[in-house]
Amino acid sequence: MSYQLYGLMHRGLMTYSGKGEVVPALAETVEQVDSLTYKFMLHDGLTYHDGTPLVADDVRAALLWYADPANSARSYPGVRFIKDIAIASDTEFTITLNSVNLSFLEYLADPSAFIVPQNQLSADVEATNGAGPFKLESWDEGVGLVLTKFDGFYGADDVTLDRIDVSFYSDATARVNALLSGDVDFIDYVPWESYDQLEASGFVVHGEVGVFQSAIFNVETGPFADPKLRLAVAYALNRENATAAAFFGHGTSLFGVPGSGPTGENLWEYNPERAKELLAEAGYANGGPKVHLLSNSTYVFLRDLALSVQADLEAVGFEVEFTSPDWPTFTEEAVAGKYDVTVQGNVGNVQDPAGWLPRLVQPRPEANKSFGYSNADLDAALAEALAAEDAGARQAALDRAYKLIGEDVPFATINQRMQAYAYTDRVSGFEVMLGFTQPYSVNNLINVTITG
Amino acid sequence: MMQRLDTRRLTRSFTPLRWAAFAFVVLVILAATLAPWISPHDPLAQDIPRRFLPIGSPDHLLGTDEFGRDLLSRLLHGARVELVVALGASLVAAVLGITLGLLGGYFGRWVELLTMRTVEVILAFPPIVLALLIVTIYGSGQSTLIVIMGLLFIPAFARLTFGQTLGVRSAEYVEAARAFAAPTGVILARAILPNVSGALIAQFPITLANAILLGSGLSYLGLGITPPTPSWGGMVAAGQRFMPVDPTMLIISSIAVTLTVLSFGLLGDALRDWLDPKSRRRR
Amino acid sequence: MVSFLIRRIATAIVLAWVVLTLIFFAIHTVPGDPAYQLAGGDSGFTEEGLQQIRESLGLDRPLGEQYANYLLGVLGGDLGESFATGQPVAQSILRRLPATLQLIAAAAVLAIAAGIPFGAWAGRRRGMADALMTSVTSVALAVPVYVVGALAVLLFSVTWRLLPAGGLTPFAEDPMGFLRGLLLPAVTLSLAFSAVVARMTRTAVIETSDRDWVRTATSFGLTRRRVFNRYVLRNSMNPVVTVVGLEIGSFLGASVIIERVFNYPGISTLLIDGVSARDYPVVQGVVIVIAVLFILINLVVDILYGILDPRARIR
Repeated sequence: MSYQLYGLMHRGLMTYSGKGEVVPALAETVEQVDSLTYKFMLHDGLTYHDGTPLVADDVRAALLWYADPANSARSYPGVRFIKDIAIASDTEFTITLNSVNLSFLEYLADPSAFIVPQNQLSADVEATNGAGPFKLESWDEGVGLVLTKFDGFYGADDVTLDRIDVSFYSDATARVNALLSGDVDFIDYVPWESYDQLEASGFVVHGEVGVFQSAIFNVETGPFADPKLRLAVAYALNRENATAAAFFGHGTSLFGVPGSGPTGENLWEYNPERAKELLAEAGYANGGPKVHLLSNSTYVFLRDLALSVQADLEAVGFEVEFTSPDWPTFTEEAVAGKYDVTVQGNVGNVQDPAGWLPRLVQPRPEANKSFGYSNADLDAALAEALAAEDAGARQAALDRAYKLIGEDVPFATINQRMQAYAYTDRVSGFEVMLGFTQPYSVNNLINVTITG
Repeated sequence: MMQRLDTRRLTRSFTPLRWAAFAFVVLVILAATLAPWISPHDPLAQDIPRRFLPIGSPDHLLGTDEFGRDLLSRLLHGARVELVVALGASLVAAVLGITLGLLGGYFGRWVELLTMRTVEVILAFPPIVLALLIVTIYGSGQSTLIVIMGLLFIPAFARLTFGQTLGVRSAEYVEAARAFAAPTGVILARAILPNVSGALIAQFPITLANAILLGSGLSYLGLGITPPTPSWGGMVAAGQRFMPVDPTMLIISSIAVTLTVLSFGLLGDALRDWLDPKSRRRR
Repeated sequence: MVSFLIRRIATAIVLAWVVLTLIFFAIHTVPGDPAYQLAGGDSGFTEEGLQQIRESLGLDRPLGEQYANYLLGVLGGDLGESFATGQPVAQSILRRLPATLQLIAAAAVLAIAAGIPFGAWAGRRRGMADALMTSVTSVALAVPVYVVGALAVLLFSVTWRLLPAGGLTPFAEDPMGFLRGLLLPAVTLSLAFSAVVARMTRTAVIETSDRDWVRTATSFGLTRRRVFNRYVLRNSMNPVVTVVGLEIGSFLGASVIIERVFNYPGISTLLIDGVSARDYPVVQGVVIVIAVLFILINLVVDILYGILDPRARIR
């Protein structure tokens, strides 16, 4: 199941709501005692969907399970800082961290950091008994599911919908048609080319930019081991064209690290002449080098972005070979570094760049970061920013990191894409979250009303 | 032994509609062959600021697609890709299928068992399912498509050849060849093949039509020709995606596929009536 | 007759085994290691993590051993468990299969209802009627099924809002909703199917009409209409039944595209999802079930044919 559905069925200590604010959820209150200590108090009388009580001991078991790297949990990067969970009563406990982490509560709000009974803490079990606003009534795998309001939810009074029928449409056109024909009231992941059509037909299309795309490189072998050529790519990319081709103009160009402020957001510009100079400096004054651009056939927008990148690279003198296998093959090839350059989408799991950037620049095999990239200075700067208790020292360390990214180009960002939801005019009260929390907006369905 | 080319039967087999189909087939083949020389633009050249130009735009007769690429050029190069794939697949299918059918039909017994069961194994996979499987193994692309569809269309040729060979293997001229101790290969190639070839020749354009249909279906599912290489199936898929914005691409490519498949099918009907009079009534 | 049955059934079993073996080895040589699809999270794609997943799925064992285990399982009706969800594959397939079978059955009924009268009419009238039928069926066979499907959705669902654009409500829940959901996909699928049936009927009718006994019957003073409806049509049905049987199998394949266009919750959707997740057990299971269905249909058609026409038993 996806994290969108987790948000409806499950709850953690914290959650995202409204425009993406982090608010207490299962925890009625949270109090930061000092920079390393958080004191939580759970709501009274919490139960799971099946009626069994939810107690502090369940919270400890769940968080420690997520903190075990063997379980590959999404919230691992945040909860791994936990040093100790001291239980005072069934509803009161204190969490102590190993080191300072500004984003700790944000990690707890991730929809996957939910609390479930201890017997559901397993990679082999799909956790369906939770403590969230809706309980699973029926589930037809790959087809759809039915959720009904859970009256034992701590915030049940604010939940306006009694029932949600979820249908899965993997094909984007089929999803749009389902809304247009009146089969469904609300769709997510609206394909960009359909925004205008849906609005013209009287539907509300509501989106925000969040996920960002970048060109990433094989820095271990091949031409892009040379940072000059990576920098040439950063200058060669025509972001406006790319956004037009892949997202129908629904996105914003990126010339640096998204959400990083003026010092990190303007690292590069679109300047093909500068790109050509850099190619010449790297020894390719008369054209070349030949590079392999890997993309995939499953996600059409990534492929379209890659095709736009191909044209940009060819325009400054690169010779490009383009391949696009299906997603599983693509993933395996990307993890193994069987490419020179590829295009990937990324989203930070927290707002703090010091919290999410390390994942993209540290040497760890992943499909969505440059192959073989490592830079000790950059790692040190980011670690310093994360641990800094003083705001000035923190910004200074971050600025050093941004400068290093600008010169060494571990990734060349292209754009931030809008992702929209569309619904009939009978639906009201839906809010879309901002920035990296945008994908969690489905959480807000609990406050939606449907008339007629 | 060779069939006489009866002109009266020729005129009867080719109705005006079928002549029109024949003319269209010639047109498509010419377009495919000459695409690199008659295309107004490079089919891969992007011009994103000038995307979705309408039909009749100056410099872009059929308009442009989502990357601002010239649609006429892509249509012409697409014809080339579709035909190369369909032709390659049909040739592979014909050679393998005819061989299996000839051997099975002529020798009978265990050879027949082996060859005809092979054909049944192929038939046991629904075409698209088999294609899906092979594409995930070898990745998509022209050569993969040729191999897959070549395999898929073996049964049509094999069964046809098998049935016809059974019918002539005891014919006098075959017996005579055998009595003169002619080598088996010579008997198959000289005595049997020419006498079963009428139906096979007629089957060829029909297989071509099926190959274009299936190939474009695979491209529609994203399993066929890989972009940016232009293909009609890919243009239909993209056209469907952008239909609300610009229906031109969908209409043009759908018509191109339909008319081409239809024309090859009608041409096959005509050839069958002309060359294989036994099946005149069967169709 | 008994030896014919045994021979036919034995062949079908061998065929199913060959198909299963081919699929097993084909899918296990596909690039795109399933471990990569299950790995991820923040621990990334470390070699230890991947190896751990492979071990838990049994993918680290020799291929021969995996094959033997799988074969034994299949004999006991166990198609393994999905890598992605851990659910038994046989169960998932059984849940999806009815929708696909309903689609194929509805398309077959429509094809028979439309194709036989159309073909019989053309075969009886010949001339212009025949020419009309030939042209109409030629077009029906040439229009790609995805174009028809997309057009149907555009007109009947999006523009006129008469029928749902996709999905299917189970019959038990809402019979009317079920029929409305089935209509567009079934009609789309039956278009080419009807053309094949119509052409076959026409040919059979013409061949039967030219038989001596038909002329004899007419000369006995029976009306042409009576001879046609009573004798010609009935005697033409044998080859038509065969064609319907054989074509049902190939329309199982066409349903892949139909299910995609209409977001129809059938077995092909399961297959495509399985392929894109490299969920070996699901892909193997679905392909085997489809192939076995196809073999079964062929077997039934063969046996029926053998009963109806004793000459066919020889081979």
